[in-house]
Amino acid sequence: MRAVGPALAIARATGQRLTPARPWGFVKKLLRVRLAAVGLGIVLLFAAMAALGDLVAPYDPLKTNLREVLRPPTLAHPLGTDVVGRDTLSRIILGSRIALEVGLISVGVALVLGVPLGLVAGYYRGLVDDILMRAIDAMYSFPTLILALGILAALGPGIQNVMIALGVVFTPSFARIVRSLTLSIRETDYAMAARALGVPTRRILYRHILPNALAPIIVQGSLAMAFAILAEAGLSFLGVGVEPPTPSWGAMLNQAYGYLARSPYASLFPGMAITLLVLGLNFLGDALRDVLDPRLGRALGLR
Amino acid sequence: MQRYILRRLLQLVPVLLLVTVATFALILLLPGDPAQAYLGETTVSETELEQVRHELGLDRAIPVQYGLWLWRILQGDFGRSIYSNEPVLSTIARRLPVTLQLGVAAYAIAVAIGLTAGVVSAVRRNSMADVGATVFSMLGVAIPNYWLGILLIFAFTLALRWLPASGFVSVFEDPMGALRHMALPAFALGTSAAAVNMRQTRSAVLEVLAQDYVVTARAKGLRERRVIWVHVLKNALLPVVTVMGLQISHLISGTVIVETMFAIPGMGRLTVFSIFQRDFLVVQGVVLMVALSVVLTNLVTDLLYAVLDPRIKYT
Repeated sequence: MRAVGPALAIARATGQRLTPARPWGFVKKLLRVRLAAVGLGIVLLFAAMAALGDLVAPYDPLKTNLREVLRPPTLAHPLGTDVVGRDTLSRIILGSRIALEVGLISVGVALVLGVPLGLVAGYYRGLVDDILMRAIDAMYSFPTLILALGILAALGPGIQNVMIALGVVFTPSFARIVRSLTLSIRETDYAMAARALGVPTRRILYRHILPNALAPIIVQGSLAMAFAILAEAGLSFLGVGVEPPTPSWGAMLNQAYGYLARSPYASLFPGMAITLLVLGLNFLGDALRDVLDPRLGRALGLR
Repeated sequence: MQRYILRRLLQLVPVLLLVTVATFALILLLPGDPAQAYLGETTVSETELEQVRHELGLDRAIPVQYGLWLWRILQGDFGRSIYSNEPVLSTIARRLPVTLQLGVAAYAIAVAIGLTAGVVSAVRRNSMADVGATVFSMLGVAIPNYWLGILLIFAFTLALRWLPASGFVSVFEDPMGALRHMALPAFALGTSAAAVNMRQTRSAVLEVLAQDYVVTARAKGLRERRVIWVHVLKNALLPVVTVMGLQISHLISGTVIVETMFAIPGMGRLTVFSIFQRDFLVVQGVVLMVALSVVLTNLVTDLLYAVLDPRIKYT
């Protein structure tokens, strides 16, 4: 390896540049800024597809046509057809509705359950905090998909139960973040002033503490949504999620997978849709984090 | 140090108890008669059912029921599978080595790729390799393992005909066959973990590279290779260890899907199969065993961290 002189070593360590910027560094910077826009673009595209749905879908996503089974992409069917001849493009368009619905509602459930838990644990500290946090630790012990499957086993399959199960699964991550933020916000001057003035605790929590904890919650929300979409498609892929014939991307993959040798296209495009939307949400989440709260970066895990 | 270990063990007790409470609650949510569920497919008369209900304490208050249930679990009695009429514990025990083999293979991939790519992209920051690794880490966490599995099967089984797409061979019976059978599922399972490892390693190495002792090491003329491998890596790996511990849980989630799609007879496939068979005691058994093993690996990770990092005083 090449030896490095002390001046260069110090310059490197302190982030100064003695050499001109390398071209790939510029590419990376460009990537970061552009990625935020790309992420937003992808998410908006899928949101538009979900909103317009039937209006833009070229075919009825439920209409079968046994004479046109497992077709490769053609002019009539730009993304091909599935096992029973339904138009893949139309099903992907309508599938974005299911994906975003599950993402939004399960994250909503997790917010409703997790935010109050985190506020209370962080504000009251002491015994309440200990008990709640041990409960959160216990919930973290269940791998996400295993817990979701356990809940679905008890509640039965179906899209509503998937939303509930995923909402419960994501609750601990929101509770943890809100708790740690509450712990520090409650010590700020304005929170202490509110307490000294005798403002009711409820009001302190929701008017003074929560608004100041919003940024990290939003970041975690967008990342959790990406994960919820992956999980819903995974559960539907296993056959315990959204029930047929509702067009869910995971269920589409489940159906097409058995016919991989006859038509790879039927498996290709739904997977692409999942990856693209998750990628978009991740980009958006990363960009939001950079903008809203740069310190947060390392605190968030995958969940 | 001993006090720290002791405290961590004590903290474990309430967590373990809450884990059992949550698992027990799953059964309470179930539709149908738990006494019948416990008996499996054996058909019995109403009076006999009443008898079983009494023996299991199902006619008692719910906290008492929980106590009785916990007592049975502690003795290894998880009930019987409705499907096979075999005790749940041995049903699970038979699948455990299969899942372990898959998990270890996936974990090895995640660590090998993740650490190498992470170190290279940090050391050669802003190079083409760094851009490549960054793109890999972005795609790695976004591609669903089931789709990656489908793509791998299409490429390596259907198109190239190199590797089998299903089945299981134990590494102890036929190591080469095991390698061939494990390659695709292990990649499908390990890629997202590799991506996370890569990101963590990269940022950890970058952070350490800026430390004074690295500057000193370089300033005194140490070879770059020695600086990276001895001074940087040893310290950068500490935070990565924590993340790698957390990944066990993530990998277990993945086995459910990967085992199902590659027809690997492990615990994950058992879980899905049991849900379809409405074999709830097996589901409950798996959920509990998995949660317990996650709690234990988390403990081991924490303790490992304490051992590896002498700077932090644990009291």
